[in-house]
Amino acid sequence: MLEVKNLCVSYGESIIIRDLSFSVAKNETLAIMGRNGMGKTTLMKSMIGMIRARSGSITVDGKDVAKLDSFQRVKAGLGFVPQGRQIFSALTVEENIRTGLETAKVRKIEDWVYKTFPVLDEMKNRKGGNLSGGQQQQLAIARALVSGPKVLLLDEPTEGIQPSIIKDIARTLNELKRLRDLTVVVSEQVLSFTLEIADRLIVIESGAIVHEDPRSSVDEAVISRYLSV
Amino acid sequence: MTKISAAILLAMFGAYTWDELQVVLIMQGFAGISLFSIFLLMALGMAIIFGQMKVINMAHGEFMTLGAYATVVCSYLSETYAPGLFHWYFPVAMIVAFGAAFVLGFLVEISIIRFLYKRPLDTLLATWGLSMIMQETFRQVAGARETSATMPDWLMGSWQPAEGLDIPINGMFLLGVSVLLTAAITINMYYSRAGLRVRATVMNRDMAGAVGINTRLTDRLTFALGCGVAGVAGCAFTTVGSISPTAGSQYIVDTFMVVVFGGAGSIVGTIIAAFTIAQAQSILEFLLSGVLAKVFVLLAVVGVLMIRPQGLIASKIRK
Amino acid sequence: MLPIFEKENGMLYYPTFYEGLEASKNVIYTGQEATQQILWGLDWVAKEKGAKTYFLVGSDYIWPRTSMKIARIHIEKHLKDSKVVGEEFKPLGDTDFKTLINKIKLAKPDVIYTAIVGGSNVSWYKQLKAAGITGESLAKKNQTMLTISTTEDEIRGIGGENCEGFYACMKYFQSLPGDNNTKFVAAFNEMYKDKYKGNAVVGDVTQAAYLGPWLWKATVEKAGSFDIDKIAEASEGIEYKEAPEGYVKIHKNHHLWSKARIGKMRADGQFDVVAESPELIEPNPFPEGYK
Ligand SMILES: Nc1ncnc2c1ncn2[C@@H]1O[C@H](COP(=O)(O)OP(=O)(O)OP(=O)(O)O)[C@@H](O)[C@H]1O
Ligand SMILES: [Mg+2]
Repeated sequence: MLEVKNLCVSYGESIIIRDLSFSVAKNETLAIMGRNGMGKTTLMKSMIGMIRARSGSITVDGKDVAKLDSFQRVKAGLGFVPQGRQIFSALTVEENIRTGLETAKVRKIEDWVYKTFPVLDEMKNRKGGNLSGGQQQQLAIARALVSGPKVLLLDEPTEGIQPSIIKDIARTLNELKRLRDLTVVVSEQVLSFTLEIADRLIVIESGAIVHEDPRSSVDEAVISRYLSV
Repeated sequence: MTKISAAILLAMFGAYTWDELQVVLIMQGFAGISLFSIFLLMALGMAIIFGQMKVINMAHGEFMTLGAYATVVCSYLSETYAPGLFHWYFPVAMIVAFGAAFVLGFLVEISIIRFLYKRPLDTLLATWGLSMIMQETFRQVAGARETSATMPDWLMGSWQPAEGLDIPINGMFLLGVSVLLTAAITINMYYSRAGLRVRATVMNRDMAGAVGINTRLTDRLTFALGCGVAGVAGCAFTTVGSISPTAGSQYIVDTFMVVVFGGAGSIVGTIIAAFTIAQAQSILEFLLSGVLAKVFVLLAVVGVLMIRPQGLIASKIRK
Repeated sequence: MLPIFEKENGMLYYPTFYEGLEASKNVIYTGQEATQQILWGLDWVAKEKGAKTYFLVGSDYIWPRTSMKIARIHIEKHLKDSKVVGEEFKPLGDTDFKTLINKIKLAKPDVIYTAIVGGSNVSWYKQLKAAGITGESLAKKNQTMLTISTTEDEIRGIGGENCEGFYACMKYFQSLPGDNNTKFVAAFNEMYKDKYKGNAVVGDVTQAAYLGPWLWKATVEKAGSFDIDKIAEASEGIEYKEAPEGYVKIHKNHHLWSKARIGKMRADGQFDVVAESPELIEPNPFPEGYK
């Protein structure tokens, strides 16, 4: 469903992602793990097109999107939930969701959205900037989902969210995966959360893959070593 | 209160009867309001563009001139070929003026502006160059002479609700146009999908793209819209002024002052700034003289901007 | 410009309205200098209309400023019991006159005396009309608007219907009677028939420009040479009897002797010439007592 091949990304002269390749099957959830500053966000942003890759291809459902603008990648089937949520703070909750409808087939907010995130229904007319971190996270996910993506990219969805709610997020995500027929790529540092949602884990270090495990045979100790400083 | 101010006024203008004074003061109040609508019309288009993409369009005045020339052409065509419809050519001219400026703005965005985002100084230079090219083109095509559009009767003269009290019809017309245009833009900005795209793009361009908004097209259309609004302003100004190839350059300074004073790009700020400057200008001119009023207003604006460089209404959006 | 002509020793035949206070070997001033245009016109309005109070309005640059200074001195010193009740200048190209018009309404002057130029002209006349000030409404109150800057050329841009009944003081109007002018206007129309289709507009400045080459021709013939020094020398006393405006003669100070005239604006953009100075007026670019 998603295939990344020989991807190189840099900021000016400093190369952040080096010749990275991986692929994700339909309905699979791939977790990309790595310590702070190892290039997770850079990888995510280059997949959605907020940063242009230097070279390499990014194929979504058979279509190479590496040269396209962000909105065209969304059209091609990518959805993005950024690190730090990046809600449009001066727009209301409802308006925030509506921004995701640009490329959607049906340009209205369907029932499942508020059914899945009842709290957004309650806060429809509040400014996005006034929501709590957890509520904003739900909003960011809803905003990414209304465009009807095939592949959902989530960048550190648990960052800054209290442990008790992390479990809820995992449950919601698993449910949505089934409900919306999703393929998911999620970057994470929290192993317990990752284990609840991922089918496969890769670890990156300085922009290259250093370790890979299917969910069934994860060696938690090894991964923890990679994640600790 | 009224009695006291009346007394003060009578002391100032002792030689006049209260009735006379009252009439002139009402007309003077209207002069201030109509200057406000002129400032607002001038500044709207520039504020839209600046607010959206931080591009200062130095050719803004020339887009107004384009709209004005479009009006002259419409007036000529309707006078020559459809004299029966001459009475109502003005609304059509306004649409034509908008269309011409919109299309040209769109082309300018594609051919020049889009290469210069993130290079504010270069856009300043490029649009300045564009303004000179446009002026020269006007001169070649339309000639250097001052011209003006022929006005239908209903746009001329004055409304006289009382003896000696003349409220200029073109002034009321300008006021109407600026109010309607501002309302249309505001409604569009806050209640339409296009407006949502614009607001999302302004707040966070990268993220807007990442949720599926075509930010480049949004920029392009917003730039074209700003130019189109300038065209409408130019059309409206043919009711009070003349048109020459360089007419636009006379407006650019005031336009710039209103936009910057208002907080660069916010529509509410632009309205407040236009109102404040227009009132200050017309009251000072009434009490002192035109040239002095201009000097004091400029000094006051500079003073305020030194204390509040972000303008009256700063945009609360972080970049 | 002047220093260059003087340095390179060229000859300029300069046709526009200007403020005076200048005379040069290398320039022949074919338009009126300020006193020629102003003094007689003010005398006329004082006498014919019995005017006592004046409101002076001009664009803010040297020609209107100097002209209004001369006008004010003349009004205050030489016209009996007369005074200036207001004087205002507007930036060049300004298009907002509503406040100024209100001040004029309050001041109720017998004469609104103006030297507004360029783009401002159109705004000025349109806004006057919109404020209920027209030739007709002024005449009812025995008020007069007299301008020294609006020619047929400007009226074409302003629209005659906005100007009807106002007065201008110049030395030439297109509607001037006399063979010289009739021939000139016809020839002008013939020459530019493709461009103006027989509706050419000729204003004061255009006519003054037309005088230039003829004066030069006559001077060269008199001097028998193209030499600039000799032309400058020979210019004094050169006459041009076929001048559209009538008869003109170059004065020692390189300005022209010419008549002043008052025209009343018509809706069709032309003037009715209502008065004319009986004699040629001597040019006096450095008027004593008017500085
Ligand atoms: N705009 C930028 N310009 C230059 N360098 C950058 C930029 N953004 C990130 N970097 C660098 O790129 C590297 C990877 O950053 P990135 O944000 O992708 O890491 P990350 O794995 O997402 O970290 P975290 O877990 O803290 O979010 C870091 O060394 C960072 O300093
Ligand atoms: Mg990150």
